[in-house]
Amino acid sequence: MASNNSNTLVDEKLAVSLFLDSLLREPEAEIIAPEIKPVVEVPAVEVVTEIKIEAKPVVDIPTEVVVENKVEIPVETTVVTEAIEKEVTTESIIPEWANEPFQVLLFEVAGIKLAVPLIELSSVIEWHDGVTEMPGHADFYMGILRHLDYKIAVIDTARMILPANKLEQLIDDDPRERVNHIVLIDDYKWGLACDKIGEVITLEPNEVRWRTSKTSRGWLAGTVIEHMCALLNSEGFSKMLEKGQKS
Amino acid sequence: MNDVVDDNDDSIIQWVTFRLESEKYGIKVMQVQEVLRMTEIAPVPGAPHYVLGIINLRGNVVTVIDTRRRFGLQDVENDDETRIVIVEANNNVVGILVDSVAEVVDLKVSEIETAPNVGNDESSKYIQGVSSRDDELLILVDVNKLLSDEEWQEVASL
Repeated sequence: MASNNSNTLVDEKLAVSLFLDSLLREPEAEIIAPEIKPVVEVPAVEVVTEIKIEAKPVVDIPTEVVVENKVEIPVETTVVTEAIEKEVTTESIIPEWANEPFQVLLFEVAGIKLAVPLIELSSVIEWHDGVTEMPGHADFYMGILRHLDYKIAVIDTARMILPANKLEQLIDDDPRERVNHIVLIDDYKWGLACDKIGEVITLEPNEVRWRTSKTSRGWLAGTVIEHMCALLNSEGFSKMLEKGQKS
Repeated sequence: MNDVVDDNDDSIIQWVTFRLESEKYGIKVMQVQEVLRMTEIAPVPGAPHYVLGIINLRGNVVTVIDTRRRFGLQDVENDDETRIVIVEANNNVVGILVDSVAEVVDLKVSEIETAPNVGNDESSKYIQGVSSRDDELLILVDVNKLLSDEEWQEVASL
């Protein structure tokens, strides 16, 4: 029995680890380098190739070859430049506050452990029924909470960050029965409803696998395998909310 | 009707408040013609999903809008508290079905705040603002924007 339990634990850890890894990965379609198609397809292929490399004007070509003005050298140059730029910007994005050890608050949503840097945390309050539901909004918008002098937009974090294939588990889910705390970020502008509040831990910058610019998940700063959690990028999260985007 | 949130003066505007689910909403009293108890609503075949049907109001045919459905709320059984609020909006006289009608409240323009929004959600553009009152948040609705221009035309042609 003990062996089975330990296997289950390993499996769960592996599953979480794989999930965290997948957060940092992008759909393959986005990784594929832009395809550079031949600009011109004419019978006199050799001539065209020469022109592309040397970027010479069409002047040297006999008029009969009819390469004409279709030789779009500038266009191809742009494509190459874009490809190079994309490659350059795939470096890890490390926030300024992470140049030295930093503290984070751990919390859980729908079985996923998240961490918010204390420097980006406004407050944490207990869930209560004072959240006013607003009609006609996205499913992840739970409503407005009055707290101090603020009117805070409360978000069902699980619905916001879970990828489409994991959202099925929330079909019959009533977030008001699930959540018990609200994590306030961005100067009390947004409230992230969560199922469970954890402890505050200190992280070394090198413990985090920072996301790269290729990752479309703006809410994610990186993943921390040792604590099996995803580190929030509050600024990115706020931008997504302002645009009404989901993960 | 102007958007009161944009007004500069601090005049008082009266709002008729009603309940849907657990929230309280307000619409401008000037747009409300009368409040009816629940009566027989005749369904209209082929009507849009947000139209419950029509009623005969002293010889006039009035379309009744399903406010719950419009607001994305679950359908519920009507009860003694259910009311049809007859309003004038976009040159149409329509009824909106609500769970109950509460009261008429006076609000200063300065007491009305813009509701926090997620994205640029078109479907919630009828929310004019919110106001804190009696320990709860009153959601102020612009009835003119409850339906789009095309939908108002559709309602008018029923």
